[in-house]
Amino acid sequence: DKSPLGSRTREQTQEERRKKALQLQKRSRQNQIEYARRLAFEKVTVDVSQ
Amino acid sequence: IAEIELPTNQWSELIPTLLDNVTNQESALQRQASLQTLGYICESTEPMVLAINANEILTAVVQGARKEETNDDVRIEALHALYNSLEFIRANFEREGERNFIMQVVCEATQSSDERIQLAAFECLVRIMHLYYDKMRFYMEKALFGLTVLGMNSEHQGVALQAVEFWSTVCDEELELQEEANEAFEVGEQPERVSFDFAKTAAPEILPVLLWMLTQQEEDADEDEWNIAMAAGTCLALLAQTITDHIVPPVIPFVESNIQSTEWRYREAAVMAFGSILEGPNPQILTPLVNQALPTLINMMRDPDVNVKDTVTWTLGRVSDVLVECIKPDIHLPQLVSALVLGLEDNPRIVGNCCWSLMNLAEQLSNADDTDQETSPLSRYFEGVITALLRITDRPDNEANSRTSAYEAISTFVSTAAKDCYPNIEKVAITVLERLEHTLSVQNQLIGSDEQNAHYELQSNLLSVLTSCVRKLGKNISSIADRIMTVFLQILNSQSKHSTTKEDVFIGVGALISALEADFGRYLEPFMPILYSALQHPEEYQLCGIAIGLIGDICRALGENAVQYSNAFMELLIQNLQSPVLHRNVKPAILSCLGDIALAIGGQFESYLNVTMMVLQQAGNMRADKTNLDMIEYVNQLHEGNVEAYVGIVQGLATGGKTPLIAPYVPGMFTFLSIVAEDEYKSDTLVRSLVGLIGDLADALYGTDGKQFFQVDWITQTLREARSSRHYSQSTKEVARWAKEMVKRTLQS
Repeated sequence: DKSPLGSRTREQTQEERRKKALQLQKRSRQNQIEYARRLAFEKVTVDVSQ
Repeated sequence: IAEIELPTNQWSELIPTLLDNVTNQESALQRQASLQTLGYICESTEPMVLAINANEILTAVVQGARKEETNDDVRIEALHALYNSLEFIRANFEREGERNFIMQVVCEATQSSDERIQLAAFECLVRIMHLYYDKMRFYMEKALFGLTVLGMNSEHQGVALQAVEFWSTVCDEELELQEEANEAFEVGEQPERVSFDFAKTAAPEILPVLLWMLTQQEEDADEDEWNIAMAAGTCLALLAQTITDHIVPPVIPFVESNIQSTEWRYREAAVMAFGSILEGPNPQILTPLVNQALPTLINMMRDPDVNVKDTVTWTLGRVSDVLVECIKPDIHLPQLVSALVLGLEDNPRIVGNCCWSLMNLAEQLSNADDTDQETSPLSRYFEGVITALLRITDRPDNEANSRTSAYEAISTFVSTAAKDCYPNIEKVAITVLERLEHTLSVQNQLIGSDEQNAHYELQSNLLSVLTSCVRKLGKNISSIADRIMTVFLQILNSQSKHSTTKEDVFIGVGALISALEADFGRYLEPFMPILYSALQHPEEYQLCGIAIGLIGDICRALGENAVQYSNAFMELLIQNLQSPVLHRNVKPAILSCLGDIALAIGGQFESYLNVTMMVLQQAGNMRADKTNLDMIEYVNQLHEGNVEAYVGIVQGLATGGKTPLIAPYVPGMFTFLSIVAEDEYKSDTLVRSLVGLIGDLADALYGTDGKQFFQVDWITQTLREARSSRHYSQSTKEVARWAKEMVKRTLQS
């Protein structure tokens, strides 16, 4: 079959779903960490300006 | 027996005995059997083990493969054995004299009157090209070019297939060399190996043959059986990627003169040729051609021949995938979507390709960076497409994966939809929920494993669509959250062992947690026992891995309130980390999860700090064998998990005002970071995490004597490299710039 979908096995489909879930979790973690870092940076900027 | 004994230096007389049979036995049957045995041994034994006998083995097999060998069966076995020995005779191939002789024997064999010998010889040539491309220049000029073109024209399909495979292999090798060259040039170096541009030189000769081969389709070809039309199409696609723009002038006239042929074979070949060259050449060259071809292709969705329609749909999928800018929403989309939706009513093969095309359109036409886009070019078609796809999902069978493809397409349409589609997505969620509820009601009526498997596959697909809806709608799913969670729990409680469906439920639960955040709290009481159970079965590592991810989701959702579960979480995570049963691929996620818990509960992580740091130090001591690529990748992931754990702990304790607690662990952390920083195989994501942690530590140690840890060269170098090197992504550079500012502030404090 020419299209990737037609020849994809069930295991491959499942692996894609796991990867997607993991990717989204990593993104959520990153967002949380980056938020804290932005706050820290803003504090730096305030310190410097003072 | 040889596979077991030879690597431990046992049965040392085996190979000499077999070789003696090959060279000295009069009986052809004995020689044939010995060569066959030798072939199997070469195939199954590690090349390093056989390298010590390489000279003798090579002498024997080449002797059997020569044209002077009168017995064809002996010759075939010799060529098969030669094929299997090619990897460990590297030293022999380095010597010109021996190499010349081997190549002569193989090339002569391609001219045998016995097609089986021809086939075996061409198989050898394919493998030789893959393993020893760098040595092939002389032979290509002298013989290989002519031989392989002749082989492509062979009346024996097997031989023709191998000859085409030869050129596909050439393209594979040259594409890899091009990539290596680009990477070298990026860092101002010369590449170690160069391409000899065999494909480009050969193109004028092999292209006409490939195009002709495209027209040799079988009427009712078995899709699982490789035939010359399929091989030619694959080779053409590889050639297009290798020689890029040069492919266009010879192919387009073929397309133009055959696309409206009265004979289906020529129409199909024309479309296949067109679809095959869409990746490789400069889009600026292809765009006007695609613009011109699109109306014709869309019309050809109504072609009377199913093979033609199948290839047309595939080609439209290719356009949507790699040249979506050619599809003008106002001009092409109405007819294109209409034709694809019509195609969903067609033969299952067509359905699969239509789903793929629709998915590509959805992915390419949505704005990936703007998850809150108000509308998109596909919004007006959303309801119609989903309705048509849902009809496919009602089909009683999954021929050509058509039903699964339809579910995947629905998921993609949902996940890439704009806000103006949300009301429709809610309807999809409810439809899917109703179907899931129905599957539960019939679960006890299933007879036999086939019915059960089909049932679980259906549940998996429905869960996947529902998960996409939950992810998309976010908090807007709350009106049906109770119903969703009820179904999730019912499925989990009704499952005996089938963990793939359990995985899909867990993934759905993860989506619901992220959507509802703290409001998910009310479902934790019934769900936790199921989660703990999954965490206590490391042998089902896939499910265990997803369960670990859910711990992170729960922590992010509950924040400080996650502390009521932290004892159980920590115990299970540490247990799993130390488990000899758990697949190692799950362990990096466990480390990251420790960081998630620390981030959530902040200062309350104090009671777990000592044991966690011990565990992280142990994990941080893992080193990769630099000759083992898999191990390098694994250790990169493990170290990344390690760093993420440290980040969570440092940030979490800071939030709780307990930063001083990390003081005893700081030297160890910096030692670990310096080792990671010096690792030449560290990945971009690892570097991003690493420099991020440096910044977090700088923030944590601000105004303390801990700033001494930053007064070292490796920190300056690492931050500089991460900010400026072409190896690292934009996001890594941004984190590095931030970290630099934090370090600067701390050093000045």
